[in-house]
Amino acid sequence: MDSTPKPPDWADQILEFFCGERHLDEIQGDLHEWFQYHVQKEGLQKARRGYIFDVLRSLRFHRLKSRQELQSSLNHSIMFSNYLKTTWRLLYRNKVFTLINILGLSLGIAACLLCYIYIQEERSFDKFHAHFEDIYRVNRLEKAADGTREKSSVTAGLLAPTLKSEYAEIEDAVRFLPWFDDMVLSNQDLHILAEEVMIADSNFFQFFDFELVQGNPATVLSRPSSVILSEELAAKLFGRSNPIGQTVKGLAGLDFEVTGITKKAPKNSHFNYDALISYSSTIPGQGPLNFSWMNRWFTQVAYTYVRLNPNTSQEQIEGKLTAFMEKYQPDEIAKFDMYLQPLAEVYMGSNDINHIRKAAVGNPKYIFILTAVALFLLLIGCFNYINISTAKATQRGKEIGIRKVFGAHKFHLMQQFFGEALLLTFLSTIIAILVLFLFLPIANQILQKELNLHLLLHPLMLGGILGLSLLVALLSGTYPAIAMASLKIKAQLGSGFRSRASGGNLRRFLSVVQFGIAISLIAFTILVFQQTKYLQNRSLGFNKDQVIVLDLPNELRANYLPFKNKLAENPNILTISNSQTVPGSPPITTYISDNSQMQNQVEASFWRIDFNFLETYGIELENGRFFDTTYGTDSNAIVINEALAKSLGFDEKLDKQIYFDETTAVPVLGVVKDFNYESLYSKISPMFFSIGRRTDDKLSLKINHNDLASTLADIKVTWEQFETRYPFSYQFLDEEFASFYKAEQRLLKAISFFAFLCIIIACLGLYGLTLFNVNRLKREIGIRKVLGAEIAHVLQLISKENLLLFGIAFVAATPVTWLLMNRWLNDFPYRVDIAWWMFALAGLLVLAIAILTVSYQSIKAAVANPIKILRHE
Amino acid sequence: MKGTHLGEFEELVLLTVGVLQGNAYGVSIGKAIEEKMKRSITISTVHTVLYRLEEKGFVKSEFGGSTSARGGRKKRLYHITGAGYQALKEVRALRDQMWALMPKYGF
Repeated sequence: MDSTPKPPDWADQILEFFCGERHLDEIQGDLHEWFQYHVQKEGLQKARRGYIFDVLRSLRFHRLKSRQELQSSLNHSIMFSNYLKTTWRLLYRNKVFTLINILGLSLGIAACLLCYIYIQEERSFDKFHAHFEDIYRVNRLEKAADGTREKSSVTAGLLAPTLKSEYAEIEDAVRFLPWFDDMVLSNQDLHILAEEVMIADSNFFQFFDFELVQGNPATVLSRPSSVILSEELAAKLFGRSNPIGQTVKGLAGLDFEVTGITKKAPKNSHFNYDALISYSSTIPGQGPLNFSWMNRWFTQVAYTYVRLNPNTSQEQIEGKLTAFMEKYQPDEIAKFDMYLQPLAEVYMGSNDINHIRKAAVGNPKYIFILTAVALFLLLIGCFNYINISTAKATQRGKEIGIRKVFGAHKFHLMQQFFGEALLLTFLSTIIAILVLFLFLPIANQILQKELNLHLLLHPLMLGGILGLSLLVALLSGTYPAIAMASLKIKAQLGSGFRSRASGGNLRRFLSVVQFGIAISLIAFTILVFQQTKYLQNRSLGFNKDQVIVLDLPNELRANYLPFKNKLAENPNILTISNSQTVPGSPPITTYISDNSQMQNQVEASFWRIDFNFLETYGIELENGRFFDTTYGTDSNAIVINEALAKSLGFDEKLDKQIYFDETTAVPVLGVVKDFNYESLYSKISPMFFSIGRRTDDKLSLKINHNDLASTLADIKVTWEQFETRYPFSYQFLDEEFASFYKAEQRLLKAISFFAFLCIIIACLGLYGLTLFNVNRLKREIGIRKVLGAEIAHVLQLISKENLLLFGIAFVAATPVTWLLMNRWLNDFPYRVDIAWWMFALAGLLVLAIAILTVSYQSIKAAVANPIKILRHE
Repeated sequence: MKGTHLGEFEELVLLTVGVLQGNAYGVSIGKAIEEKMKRSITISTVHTVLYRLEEKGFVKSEFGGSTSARGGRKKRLYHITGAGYQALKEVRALRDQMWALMPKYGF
């Protein structure tokens, strides 16, 4: 080995590449001499640094190569085209490895691209309105007696117009209210069910940027009894004829005049509508609906949005809201504060806000999880590439050695290997886009979205995708390039008997990470599966599996008693109960207190029901009694649940009374055991039952499951005897509750899918590595066998290291996953516990698949005839 | 006349070329300047100056011997020309004139 110090090779190459022929010798010679001189003066390191500096400074204009010289020096590397050819041939000959690499990389890239599109779509919600940065929704922050504060999105009907008139900085304010149930709209005898009908203020189309097809935005919603139909609805109701001016029968069976046609809101709006009824229709004295509860301060029912003057800040207005409440809602100050929520944040930021009805709510956690998983996939793909390439470096030792002998410098070699990575990555990117095209429909189904690839075809995005490819190539290609270019010539050109695979430690590290990610994902999937199952099957404290709920429309409501009695004749219907609300429906709440001064008010939902309710739902009493027909005074009493009893500080004696206001007090007859009448996302809140009026909204039928089809048919017949407009519709209560957990089901599907992909890619990598290892050790195995080693022993040789790596991965991944699991579970008041067997199962699964992957190769190698292998020597 | 003007460093290098008398090339000049003038220089500056001087006609060059320290590469050796010598003398004359006019200071 040369002992004279040398200047950095690569700097020399740069000099040789750029410097003109005429001066190269003298400059380079001078530089080398100067270098030696400085090594003695200042030491090797400084001399090397100085050399680099000198090279760069020598590259001045007249000493650079002329254009032709440069060209010829490029061509003079016939090396270049040779590189291209060899790269292509290399990739082609190692089809298996190339395929594995491409598959892994393209899946990872595709996942990242999908992720990007998804995130862009989610972030774009509501931003199509002009001046959306100045638009805010007014929310309430409620103050409960126990100190907790809950957010709510509904406000008083009078809020919007009063805010607008009170503050000049509020340029416009709009209110609207999605109607609670589906509504039947009728054109004479044609009845169409509209699922999203809204009651909207007159300035709705001036405030929001929705497309009105027919009608003047300024006047279309101003008159009472006006309705605007979506294009689709208008087509269904009126076909080809012009709907404007015609009459539609709708809410409360009243007539409305069609004053406009509109397009529905775009997909990325957090609310949508099929029809809009003018708000003025509800104002007592102006419109026929006479909904005083929509036009006063006490009841919080509407969604209020304001648009501020661009110069006004959110805080400025929020600061004024307390004074506002003192002036207009002094009684409510003790119950809640109001604040503003920017429109751009409404979609993503409403997970903790109550009373959101018929509006899309995005989950920022999804975005996080999706991004993490996409990046994982990409990382695993890159890791595979690095592992396989470095392992194969030894195989190419001869090639590299020969190239070096012919004058290739490290720099050139690095270029070559980078080139390989680049070519592979570009191929993978193209395939990734194709894969995305093909699988977009499936992805849309899983994510419940309608993503399209238009976003990707934007020139800026294409540039970005190119950049991503480069990044991936850099990530994957750097280490192998350096590793391979650094191989020593002599060691390679000799007949390496057992060529050590270079980069052993890095490869092991990467394998550990791959295993770890796979274990982590599977364990998490198992957890999500368990939690989802739990949510769907946990006992709710009442019977939901045998109950059908009928939502009664107007006509039926008027005749509910005869309808109920007729239904009772069916032997398969065991009990019927009529009520205003049922479990699973949004609760109606009010404030009550245990003292006549109405201090320490508690918000409780109230349920107007009948005597059969407890029996129909199988709710258990804890104390006292339920309503009973034998007592005449029961209509003036209530039954409460445990949560309410606790928050009011009631004990078993039930001797206190409940106050609705200073003068109205009722006795408590009994306490029922808590039951989950809302989804398991919420803890059980206080509620009470009352008997008597206004219980005609819903019928709950407890049935036995014999002959379900004919029972339903019978109910339908009876329904149609009483009701002519509304089509028969019913809801199985257990289905209704199952639908609450759609989000979890989606998450489960998505994460299982990704975990599956992850394992595939990791196993591909494992397969490739094993293939390579086995090839490498073929000779050694052959010799060992000749010397008498058993197959099992040989297998052990191959698997030992992998097992160790797996063990490390398992130990490392478990605590991290546990932490993540905890964080996710924290959102659920009702949750499963993290069990050790989840990790064990995940580990076993990954281990099993890994073993399968490895064993096919290993067994083949172990059984192979040693003579055949050694003969090739 | 184009550039009979000599910059400070150019003058330095030209002087050294004259002094080294046939043994002047990048490294020897560089070493001489570093040692004599106690300042460290970049060798490529020397190269640049030499090329400029050659363009001005103050020096001429030819290829010289190669040594192993240079990895077998040839040197370019520089000789001062008559014009170069003249230029140096002119500069010196100018300096002398100015010094002659300098009053006596007590520093």
